[in-house]
Amino acid sequence: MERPSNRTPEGIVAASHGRRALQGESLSQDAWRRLKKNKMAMAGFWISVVMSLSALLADVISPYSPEEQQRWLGALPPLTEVLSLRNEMRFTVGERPTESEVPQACADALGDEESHELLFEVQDEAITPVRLVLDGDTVESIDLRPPGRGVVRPDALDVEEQDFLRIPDTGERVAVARIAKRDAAPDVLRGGEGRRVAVLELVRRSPEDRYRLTVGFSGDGTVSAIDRAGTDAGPSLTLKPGYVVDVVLDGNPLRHTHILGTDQEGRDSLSRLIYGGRISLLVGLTATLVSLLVGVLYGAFSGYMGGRIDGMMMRIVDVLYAIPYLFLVILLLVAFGRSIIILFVALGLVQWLTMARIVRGQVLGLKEKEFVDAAVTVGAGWWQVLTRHLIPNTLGVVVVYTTLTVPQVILQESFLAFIGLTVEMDGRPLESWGALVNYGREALGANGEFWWLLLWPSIAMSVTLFSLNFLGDGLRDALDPQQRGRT
Amino acid sequence: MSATEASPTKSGPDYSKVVLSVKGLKKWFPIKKGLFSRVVGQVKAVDGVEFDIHAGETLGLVGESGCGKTTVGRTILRLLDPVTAGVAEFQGQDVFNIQGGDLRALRRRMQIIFQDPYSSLNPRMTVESIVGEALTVHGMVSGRKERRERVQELLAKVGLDPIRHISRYPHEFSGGQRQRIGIARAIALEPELIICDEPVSALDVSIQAQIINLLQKLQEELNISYLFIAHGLSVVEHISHRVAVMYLGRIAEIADCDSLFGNPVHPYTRALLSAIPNPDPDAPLNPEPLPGEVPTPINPPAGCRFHTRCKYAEARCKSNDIPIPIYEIEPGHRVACILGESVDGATRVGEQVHGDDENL
Repeated sequence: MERPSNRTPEGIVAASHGRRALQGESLSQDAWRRLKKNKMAMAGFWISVVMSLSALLADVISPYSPEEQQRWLGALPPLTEVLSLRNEMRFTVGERPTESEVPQACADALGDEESHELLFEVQDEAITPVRLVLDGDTVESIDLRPPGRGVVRPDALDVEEQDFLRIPDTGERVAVARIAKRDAAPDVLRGGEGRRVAVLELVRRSPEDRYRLTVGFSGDGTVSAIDRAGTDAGPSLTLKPGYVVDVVLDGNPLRHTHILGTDQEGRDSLSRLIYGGRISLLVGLTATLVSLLVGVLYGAFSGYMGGRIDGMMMRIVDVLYAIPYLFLVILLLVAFGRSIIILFVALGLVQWLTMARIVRGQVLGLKEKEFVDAAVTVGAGWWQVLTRHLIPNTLGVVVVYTTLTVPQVILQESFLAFIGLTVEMDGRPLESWGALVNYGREALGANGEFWWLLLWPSIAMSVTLFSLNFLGDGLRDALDPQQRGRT
Repeated sequence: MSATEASPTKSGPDYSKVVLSVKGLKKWFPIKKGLFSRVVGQVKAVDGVEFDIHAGETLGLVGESGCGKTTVGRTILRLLDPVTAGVAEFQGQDVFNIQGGDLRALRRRMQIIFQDPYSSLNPRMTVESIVGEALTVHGMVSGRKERRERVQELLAKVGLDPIRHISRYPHEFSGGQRQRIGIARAIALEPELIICDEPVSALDVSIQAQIINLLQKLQEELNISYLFIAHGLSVVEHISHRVAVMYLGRIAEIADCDSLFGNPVHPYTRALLSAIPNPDPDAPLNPEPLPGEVPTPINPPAGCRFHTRCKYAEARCKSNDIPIPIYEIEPGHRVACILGESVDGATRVGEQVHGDDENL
């Protein structure tokens, strides 16, 4: 072919030197620009992003394991501070140390803490009492004994119930010694017969106070430090009568707050909420993706082929539509086990039907457009026509329907969880928001005294569903071709 | 290429070389009804069409809406498979009986420009991908860079800015610019034949002239043949070397441009020509507007399709038993009408065959 010299690529580039190559604005860029002006939709968008990120980074941002039980805590209302069992305890054995012997670093680390808690196990009931010594200006000495055997200051003791010993305010300091009920103690601590768990809580009133705990045993016995997970962290020591054990607390945070409270098993509500969101969003997104993949391809193929193939494919959809979806899902879960994969498949199986219908309708209209004929004329095969010309042009509707499907699926899964069909993975139950709501509903109590257990998952779910719906509505407006080009 | 020899009207056509030859082309659309899609009738959109297109030639195809001219173009391009009957040969190669790779190779040589520049461009693709798609499909470029350069060349050729326009999307262009994009896509494969399906009827009048001139310029440069489908007679007169007039699925008259416009024989052609608006306000109104409506192609009139509206119609025009004669008035000027016999020097060269094919 002849080419005038100024039309060669070099000529073109030279001739256009200094001109700016304009980047066109695609339809999706235009839609995004208009979406950004819709405040509600953008709020929905960002909330959805935050929710997704928190679900994605649950391992990082969640303060606790959602399964960690601290039964002795029980259900704590939001913002309750509790003493942490996270601190490691180091033991030194010997005569009672003087203050100068306490390592300065430890003392500093302790200095800012309001209170410390020790958890130790007294292995043989027979050799208690434990003597607890507060070292400071005023030294308090506390002996803990099995109930009914007497204490050092019987007059200062307030025995609440059989296993609880409380020493009320003594001047500037309050020392509370508490022996947890055996059946409320962590499983690992329960041990065999004759074991006793003592949870000692020391509260200081004045922030300037420093103190060191010295635990002295009068009698033979073993003291072991128990870390957060309930396993032995420090050396176990066999103590002889008269020995003094120095317990040095590391500088870890010793007091923590359960911002959203805990449930009746002492599990952190916030962590459970974050992990629950992970399950809910995962189910929502995966089932939607399944429906997206199957529905779009199925619908586009059916619509493009038309005629008898289209008729047959759509009749299959009609038949599947006729099956009550919940019934189908429950049946699948019961028949194939409550695996999360089954749930994905079951929900996806139901959701793709509508998607297929929507896409087919779009394609039926689109395939009459002349650009499809143009593509056929230049020699594009059916797969290319489908994937390059038809499906991209259905994306507006597909995106909108997808953002509206995600909350729908989340709701459906929650409903399943609510009626008790929680899914499992590796034998562990996966508790979604729906399961948490169900738990909260059961735990609510007659007067709603455990309101936070129901409130948080409900709010999380509502906010997420609202956000996704607002986003979907906003996208629908933004992708509306009638509105194109307007502000 | 010797494209300038033997040019009776305008420069270009090589009448010794036939690019596309269509014979007895029929395209019927079945009408289906009921649960089992029983065929209850046929829309006879194209019902026996014959013509040749020569190298470098523009054949205008005119007729009123619904006469089947667009169907002719699309059937030839294999956009409306399967064809009902007939043969089309593209430089000796059968068009209708090939598949797969042969068909794709043929598509490279026949392209189309569409009527509506708004629906003929994929709104989700940039100009570069729209024009370059054909190049990629046929492996005519290796790599993105080469494709981009080639697309830029094509854009320059059709009068678009190769730098500023290449990355933009169709909705950012005006109708005329869009049609230029469509033309760039059509010429990307360097085809020998382009079917122009009313390429200017959706455009502004001032833009129409630009596009027509562009098409003529490209024809001269690239020696492309056009099948120019239109209903605007003045446009057809301007661009065509020869013109075929269609009525209800059949060709009524075909001749070179001057002969057809200067000496129309078929009553339908005459009616069409007299319907060209005259800008002179003092000129008398169209003296003989056609009576009645176009009959439905589902059940076309027997005999000559035009007899229901023709004031010259005789009994023999109205029967399927007597075929309609085709007369050659002068070389290349054929008319399917009994009036042809009264023209001096006319010879009977054939006849239109009637509905012996209801069962097709």
